[in-house]
Amino acid sequence: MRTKVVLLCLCAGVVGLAAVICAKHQSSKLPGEVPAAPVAKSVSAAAATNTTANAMATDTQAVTEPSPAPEVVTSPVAANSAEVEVANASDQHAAAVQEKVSKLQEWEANADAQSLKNILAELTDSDKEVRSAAIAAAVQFDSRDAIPVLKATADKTTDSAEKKALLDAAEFIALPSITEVRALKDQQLQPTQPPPQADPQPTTELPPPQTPADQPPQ
Amino acid sequence: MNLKKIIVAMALAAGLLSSGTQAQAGVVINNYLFTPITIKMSYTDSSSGKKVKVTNKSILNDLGYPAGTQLVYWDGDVYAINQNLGIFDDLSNEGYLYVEFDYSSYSSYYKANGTYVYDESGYLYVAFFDDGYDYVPDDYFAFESEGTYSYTETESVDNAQGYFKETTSFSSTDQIGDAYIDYDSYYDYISGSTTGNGSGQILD
Repeated sequence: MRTKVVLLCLCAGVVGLAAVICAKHQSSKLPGEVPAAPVAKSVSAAAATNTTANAMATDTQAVTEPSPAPEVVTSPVAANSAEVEVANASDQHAAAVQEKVSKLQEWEANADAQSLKNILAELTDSDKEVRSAAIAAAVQFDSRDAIPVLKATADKTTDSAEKKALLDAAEFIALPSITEVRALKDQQLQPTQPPPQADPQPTTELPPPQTPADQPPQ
Repeated sequence: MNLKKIIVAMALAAGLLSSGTQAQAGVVINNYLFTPITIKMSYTDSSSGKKVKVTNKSILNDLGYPAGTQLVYWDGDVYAINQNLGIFDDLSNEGYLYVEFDYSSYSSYYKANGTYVYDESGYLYVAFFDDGYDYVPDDYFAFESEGTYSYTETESVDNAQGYFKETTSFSSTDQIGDAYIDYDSYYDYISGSTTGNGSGQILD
């Protein structure tokens, strides 16, 4: 009986201690911390991210904060906040680029001079992704009026890959289209006209053929 | 045509009723994101030996669509849409243009800010038949090509109004295949790229 009471007390103590540790750990999390991913597939990725974050944060703190006690608690939180900021910044940048890309997609479908002007203006945008989309849009707009601008922009570009993309686009636009080839083929397939003759056939109405009754008497 | 497509088609027939709603960019119709696609290919004309370009505009001109019409991808089909003129044609259903994804691998994860990211890769099949049927002798112009692709889709967390931002993008830059023009009566080599890029605000 005495042994049982002692064991019971010990168990209760262990459970109580565990509860205190857990409560302390929970209270250390910030309210803005991202919850664990709800999809099974993403759990491993999220876990990997947290591990990386812990590792990164530990490295940082080893330089900035020598005291070991706060490191364990605060590091993951600080790293997560930084990650959220990075992710938000990345999403905002992607959204800004996407908005311009969408406008380029609208313009490239048009056939008016203003749309082409808008596209060509984006060839010198500060963002490389937008410039790349502008080159693609110029190709899709499919006007040979774009060729001199593409070549001139290539001349001013120091990035060799971008220069090549601009020149390739100019070269592509210069190619004949299906419509042009079709028109050319249709011309070739048409029956050939007789060559002009020295004594051209009369184009005016021909006289009616003479019938035997019309023939003058001999 | 599945039920979802019928509902969207009916909604659009009633005047593209909610196109552009909550959409700062991209093509959102009836709360679905349609991804604008870009086809850029070239083939060598066998009779002349000259290269010939194939773009969205070439395809749309060939099918008789006016300027301002876009090629977009949604739910397995390619559409010709012109929101100003009320054009909404399922080109895949009519046998004109196909963009088909055959994935070989995929993965997904959540970014630190809760944005869901889905990545996929595999083979992309693109085909165009300007008379609406699979390779038949009276096709004026047709092509079939294939290449590897990478695809990414993201969904942000919902905002206070219950909308999330969806983006889709894919790229296949190593497309190769055959082009056919009836007056040549034999196949020409075609190569190029097919890409897609769209985004919009979707009500969850």
